Amino acid sequence: MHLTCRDLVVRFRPDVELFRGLSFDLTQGDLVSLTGPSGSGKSTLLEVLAGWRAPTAGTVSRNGVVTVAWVFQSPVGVARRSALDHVALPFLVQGTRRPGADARAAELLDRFGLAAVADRPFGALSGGEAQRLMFTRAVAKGADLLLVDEPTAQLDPASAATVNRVLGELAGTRSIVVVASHDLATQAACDRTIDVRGVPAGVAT
Amino acid sequence: MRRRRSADDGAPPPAYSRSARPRRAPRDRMEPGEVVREAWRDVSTGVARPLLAAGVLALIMAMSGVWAARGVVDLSQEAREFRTAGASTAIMTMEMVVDGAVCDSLATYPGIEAAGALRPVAQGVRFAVSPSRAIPLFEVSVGFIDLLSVIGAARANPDGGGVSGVWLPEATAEALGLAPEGPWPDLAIPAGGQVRVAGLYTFPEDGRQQDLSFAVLAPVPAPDGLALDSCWAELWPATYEVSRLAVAVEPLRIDGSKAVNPTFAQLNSTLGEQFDGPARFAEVARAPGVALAGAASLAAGFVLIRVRRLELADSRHCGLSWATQGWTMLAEAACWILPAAAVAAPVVLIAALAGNPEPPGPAAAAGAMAVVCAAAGAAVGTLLGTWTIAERQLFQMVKNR
Ligand SMILES: Nc1ncnc2c1ncn2[C@@H]1O[C@H](COP(=O)(O)OP(=O)(O)OP(=O)(O)O)[C@@H](O)[C@H]1O
Ligand SMILES: [Mg+2]
Repeated sequence: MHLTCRDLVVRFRPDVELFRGLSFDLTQGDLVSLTGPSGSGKSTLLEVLAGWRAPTAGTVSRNGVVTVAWVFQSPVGVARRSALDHVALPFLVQGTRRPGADARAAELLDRFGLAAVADRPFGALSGGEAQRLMFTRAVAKGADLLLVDEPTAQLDPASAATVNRVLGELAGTRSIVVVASHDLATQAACDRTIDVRGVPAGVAT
Repeated sequence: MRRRRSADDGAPPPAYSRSARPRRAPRDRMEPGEVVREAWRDVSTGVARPLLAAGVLALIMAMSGVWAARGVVDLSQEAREFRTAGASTAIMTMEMVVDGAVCDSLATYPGIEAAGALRPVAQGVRFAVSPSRAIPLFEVSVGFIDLLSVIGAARANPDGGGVSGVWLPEATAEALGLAPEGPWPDLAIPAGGQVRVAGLYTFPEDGRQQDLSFAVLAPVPAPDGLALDSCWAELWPATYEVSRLAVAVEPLRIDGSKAVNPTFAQLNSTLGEQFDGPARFAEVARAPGVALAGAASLAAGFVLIRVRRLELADSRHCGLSWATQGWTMLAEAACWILPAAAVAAPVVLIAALAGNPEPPGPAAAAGAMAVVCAAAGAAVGTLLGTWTIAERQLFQMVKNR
């Protein structure tokens, strides 16, 4: 499973040109962060990787990438449904019956430190818990490509730390994980950093 | 993980493409039983807003259903008023040449509900109670009493009067000292002897000819050739056509009376000449309320889905297909559509029954039509709403929050 980008450019208006011919390769088990100042195109690059937006120039190729999962800055869920229900849904969709889906969901929740809140409604979860739930569910989906946009932007440092820990656990799994983040701790949790401005990380500050 | 992965593990890589989207994810394989269970969880936890939805829909159903049913009831009442006021009763007059038996038999014609003939008797009649006062007396054919049950709410003497006696309008009965409620005793006549009271009828001053409002009607058996003055016929539906009556008039003439020309009159012309019941009913049945109910509930179903668009797009992101989501939303909608119909149905039924002079069937059917339209509208609105949900909107929606 590979994701390859070559000479990417996305132009919105004549004066807004993003990526300046960025190229990179990602493969199964990669956990990379996208960096760059606000407005440099991190979210836009995630859209391009998802295939939701065609680049103005350059190529994106996906080899074996079928399912894509997103985790957003603000967690999305159904306030009155339980955390367990949220994680069980992907299993139900895959054809698993409710008891099996619940068991597998509970197992995943436990792995990501959410066993205690499994039966709590989504609306009653803390920001950190809800965000970790989003990761748990992305794993339940068995996504080949996990795109994460500013997962800790709305969290206090303590909650952010728990989310970054979960993120770190995703390294070396069967997915490609791409995280757009300003958060240095989040970047540190990743194996690799790509500057979306198309220059090697660390050169431009 | 039993997902297909075609190009992995040594298979040759596919051609690169610039705007490649991920290949379609595996089809969702959610079990129908799980679809129903998911729907029920959304309903029981209130995610589908079942109480609000059922309340709104019940209101739409009840309002439009009552509107439709009352349209029919009002029409029935109007029709009943038209008929009881004598507006649908035609009077054909040919002095001394109307055959009473033939006139009675007009009631067997299609479009003629009742018919009967009458003739005034010159001297009138006096009763012992007020011997000085002569009351106009009419001889009537037997069919005339049937006609009175339509235009005069005739009620027979509970004392078993039958037709072997006289029929009195209420005003005359009162003048003779009879209570409005029966049974009524026989009336003495000054010459000696008794007259039975067969029954009473009402003959209000509602615009009708008043000849029979103060009178005594004496039914006489009508052998062939009994010559009377006029033949009254109640036409329903009252699409009054003189030509139609003229055909009926020919056989009314007693032989050799061709020279006498008939005159036609409406017993009561103050309510208009015609009342086309079937045409008016067809009009009422197409009530705008039904279309409005469908449109309003369609909008309600649509909005109830759209307010959940974020979570629904998110479920699609979890692999749920549009078809499965559509079935789930329909199952959820059934959980508020059916209760709403159950609440609205008795209300509509009461509206169809209250003050309805006719059997409630047609009015109830018109109301039911509105309820069914509202239910269908809600289901269609739900599906339309679900159809507008796309996984791709998720990103945009999250961005825009
Ligand atoms: N649909 C669009 N139409 C026009 N311009 C757009 C569109 N989407 C993004 N842009 C512009 O592209 C640039 C990059 O936007 P993007 O959201 O990708 O940046 P970002 O690096 O994610 O920023 P942040 O760190 O604030 O999230 C911005 O200048 C933005 O205004
Ligand atoms: Mg961004």
